Amino acid sequence: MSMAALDATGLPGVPVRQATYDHVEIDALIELGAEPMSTARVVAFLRDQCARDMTVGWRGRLTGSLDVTPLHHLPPPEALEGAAAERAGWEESHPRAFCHFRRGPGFIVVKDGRDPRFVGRYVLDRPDLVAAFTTCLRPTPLDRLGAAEREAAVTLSKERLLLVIEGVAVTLPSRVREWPASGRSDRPMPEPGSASGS
Amino acid sequence: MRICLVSMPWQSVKLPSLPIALLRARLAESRPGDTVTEYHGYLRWAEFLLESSNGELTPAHYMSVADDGVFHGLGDWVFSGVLYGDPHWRTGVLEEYARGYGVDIGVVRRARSHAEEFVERAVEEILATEPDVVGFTSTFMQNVPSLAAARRLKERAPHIIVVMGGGNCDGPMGQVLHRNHPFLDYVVRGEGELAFPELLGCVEAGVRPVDVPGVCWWRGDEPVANPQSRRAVPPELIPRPDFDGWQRALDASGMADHFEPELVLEGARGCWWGEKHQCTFCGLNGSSIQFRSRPAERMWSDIRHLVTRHRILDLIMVDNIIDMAYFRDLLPRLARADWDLRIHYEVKANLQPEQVELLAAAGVTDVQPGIESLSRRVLGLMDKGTTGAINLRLLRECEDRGITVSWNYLYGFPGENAADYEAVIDQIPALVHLQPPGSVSRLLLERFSPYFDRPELGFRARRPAEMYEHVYDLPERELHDLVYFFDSPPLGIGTDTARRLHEAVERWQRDYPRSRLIVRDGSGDTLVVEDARAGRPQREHVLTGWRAAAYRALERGRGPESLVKALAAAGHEQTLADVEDWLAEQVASGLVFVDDGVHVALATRAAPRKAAGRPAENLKVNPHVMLPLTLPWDRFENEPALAPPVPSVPTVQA
Repeated sequence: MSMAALDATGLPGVPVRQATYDHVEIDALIELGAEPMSTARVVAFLRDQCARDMTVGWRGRLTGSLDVTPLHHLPPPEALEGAAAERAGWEESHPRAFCHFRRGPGFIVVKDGRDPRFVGRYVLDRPDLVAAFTTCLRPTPLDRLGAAEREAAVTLSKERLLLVIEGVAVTLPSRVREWPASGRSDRPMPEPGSASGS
Repeated sequence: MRICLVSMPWQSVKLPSLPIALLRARLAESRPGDTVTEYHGYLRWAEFLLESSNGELTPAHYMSVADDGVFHGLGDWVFSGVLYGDPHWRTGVLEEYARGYGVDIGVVRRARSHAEEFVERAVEEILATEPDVVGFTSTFMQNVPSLAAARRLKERAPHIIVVMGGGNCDGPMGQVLHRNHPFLDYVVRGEGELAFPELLGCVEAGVRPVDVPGVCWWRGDEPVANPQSRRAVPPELIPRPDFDGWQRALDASGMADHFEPELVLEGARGCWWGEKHQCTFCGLNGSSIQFRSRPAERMWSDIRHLVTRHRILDLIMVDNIIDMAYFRDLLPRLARADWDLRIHYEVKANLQPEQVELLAAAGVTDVQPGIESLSRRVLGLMDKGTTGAINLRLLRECEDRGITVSWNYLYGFPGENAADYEAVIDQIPALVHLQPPGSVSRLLLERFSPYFDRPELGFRARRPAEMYEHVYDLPERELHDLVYFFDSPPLGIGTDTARRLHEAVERWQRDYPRSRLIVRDGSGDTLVVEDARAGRPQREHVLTGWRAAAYRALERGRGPESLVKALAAAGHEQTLADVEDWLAEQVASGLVFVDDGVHVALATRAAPRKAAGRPAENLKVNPHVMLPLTLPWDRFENEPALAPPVPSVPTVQA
C-alpha cells in the first residue's frame, strides 16, 4: 500500500490516506451536521472523490437535523453514530444513485438519479444559476453571494442540487471526468446497443 | 422553389441527419430564394412505433434494428412489403434466412405490421409542406424505406420532383436504383454539395441536367447516368451543418425522454492512409477516397457554436480517420476549454502515448482505431500500416486513459495461415485486462474495396449477400451493381482455428470487467506489477535493476536487439542471450506480448472504471464483418462465478 498526499483543501486538518489506486481512507471520525462549514467541506470532499472515481472509507457521527438523503450518491460511511437507519438507507441507495454534472461553454448539464423513480435532467444556462452552482463547488456562506446568485442558490437548493446547512451552501452533483471503458452508458439511461449513424 | 429534405428510418434515432443538416446549410448559401423544409422520418417512425404498438416497440427496439439489422437487411425488409405492395412479401424467405443465421426477427415482424400506415402518414406529412422537390438521403438501411415513401409520394402527387442521394447512391448503385425505380426522377451520385444545388437549378429552369456530374435522369423512358465528377468537393464548400430543424423535430417527438441525443460532426472526408495504401478490405470511402479536412480554426468554431446552441456535449465525428494536424491545432484547444465533452473519433492505431493523452484531455472518450488483428503478418496482408505490437500498445494506452476502444477481430484474409492466429490465441489469456474486440468475424467483401475491385487479390467468386433476397425484388445482375455487401467463398484460416479464436475472445470479453494488470514504481529502482487478471492466481511481480529498466523500455515495443541497445544506453550492459531468455520468461508469465519478434509491455499504469457485463458500445454498426454477428454472451450469463483469485507470494525478479 502506498501512501500519497491528497489534495485535501476541502478537508483541512483531517488525515486522509490513499489506500489503493482507487480508494482513500479518512482516518478520523467525521462530524456531520455539528458545524455547517466543516459539514459542507466533507460533502465537497466526498463529491470530488466521486469525480475522481475513488471510493472512500470513512466513519461519521450525525448530529442535528441534517437530512442525508440528498447525499446518497456520495460514498456512504462505514458507520454513522447516532443514525444507524440513515446509514443503512444510504448504503442501500448508493449503488443505484447518481447525481453528476458536465460543463459546457456557458452552461452546465446536471443529471440527477438519486431518486430511483425519476431521473432529472437540468440545463443551467442562466448566468446567475451557473455562477451560484460554480461558486458553491467550494463551500460558501450564502451571505457572501450577490443578491442574484443568492436567489439562484436558493432555487438550486429547492431542486436539491445545492445543500444549504445553516446558511452555508455546497454544490452536490459531482463532475463527470471519466466514463466507463467499453461502454457509453452513463447509468441514467441505459439502453441496448448504440450507433454512430446508420 | 420549395424543397423538402427527407431522412427515413433507420438512421440512429439519437443523432441528427448530417446530410440534411449539410444540404440545408448549403442551399441557404447557394439558393437563398428557396424555402427548405425537413422531414425527420426516422424520428417520426420511432415515435409512431411506440404509439401504435401501445408502448411495446420502444426506441430501444428501434435502435436494436438500426444497430444490428444492417448485416441482415432487417430494417429494409420491414418496408419492402410497402414498396412491393404486398405485406407478406418474402416473409418466408426471411424466416428461412433467420433460421439459418440464428437471427431473432420478432421485433421486425411486429414493426412491419405498422409500416404501411406509417408510410401513408409520412407521405401526408411531406405533402403538407407543399414541396416542389423532395430529396431523400439514403445510407445503409434507408434504401427501401425511402423507395417505399418515394413511390407512394409519386403516386399521390405526380407533379412533385423526387430526388434521391447519399452513400447508397454512389457509383453504379445510384444508376441501378434509378433505372429500376421510375418514380425516382433523379438520383445524385457522389457528394451532393455541388451537384444538388445545380440539379435544382436545372429543375427550376426546366432543362435536362445533362452537365451536372453524377446525376441520373430520364430521357423519356431511357435512363441516363452522367459520369461522376473526379473532383472531390473542396472542404471550404462544405458548410457548417444546420441542426436547428432536427432540434425542433426532436423536441416535438418526445424521443429525448428515451435517450441522450448526440451531435454528428464532420472534420474530414476521405482517408489519408487509404490514398496511399487502401486497406484491402475497406470500401467505406466509396468512390472518393481523397482526404480533405476542414481547417482546425473552422472546426473549433463549429464545435463551439453547435455545442453552445444545442447544449449537447456528446459528439460523434464521422470522419473515417482523424486529421493528424488536429493534434497540433484542434485537440489542445479543446483540452484548454475544459468542457466535459464526450467525443467519438476514428483514428489510426499507431498513435504515440502523448497523442492518446491529448485525445483524452480533449474529451475523446471513444476511439475506433481499426485494429482488426494482433498479427503483424495478417495486418501486412490487409495493408493496414500497423503491427500487433503497435495495436497492443494502443489498447494499453487507451486503458490507461480510460478511453473506450471499439474494434473487431477480423479473419479470412487470402494468404493468412493458422500459425498467424495460434500465436495470438495462445497469448489472449494475458490480454484480458485490456479492452476486448466487440466481435470476431470473417471479413465481408465490400463494394469499393481493393478486394472487390481486384479479384486477383483472392476473392474471384462473389455474389450479392444472401440477405438481399428478402430486401429487393430485382434480378441478380441488377443486385450485383446495387448492393454493398457480397458473399464469397471463405479464404484464409479454416473453421477449427476460427473456432479457437472465437472461444478465446469470448473468454476475453467475459474476463475483462474483472481483470487488472497494473505497474507501479516500488522502492528504489524496482517496479511492482500487480496482477489481478481473471483466470490466474493474483500475485505481485517485483522487477529490479536492469529488468525494471527493460520492462519500462518495452512500453513502446522492441525486438531483443533494440532492447539490448536501450538497456546499454541506460547503463545496463546485458548480453543478447540474457535478454532473450528474460523476454521469453516475461511472455510465459503474461507480462509481455510478442508479435513477430517485437515485444511490448502489457501492464497499465492505471485502470479505468469498467462497464460491467456486455460492452454494448463495441457492438456498434461497423462494416467489414461477416455474418453472423451473434455473440454468445448468453452462454456465460448463468455460469457460476469463478473462484476468487488466490493471493500468492510476490515473485521477485532480481
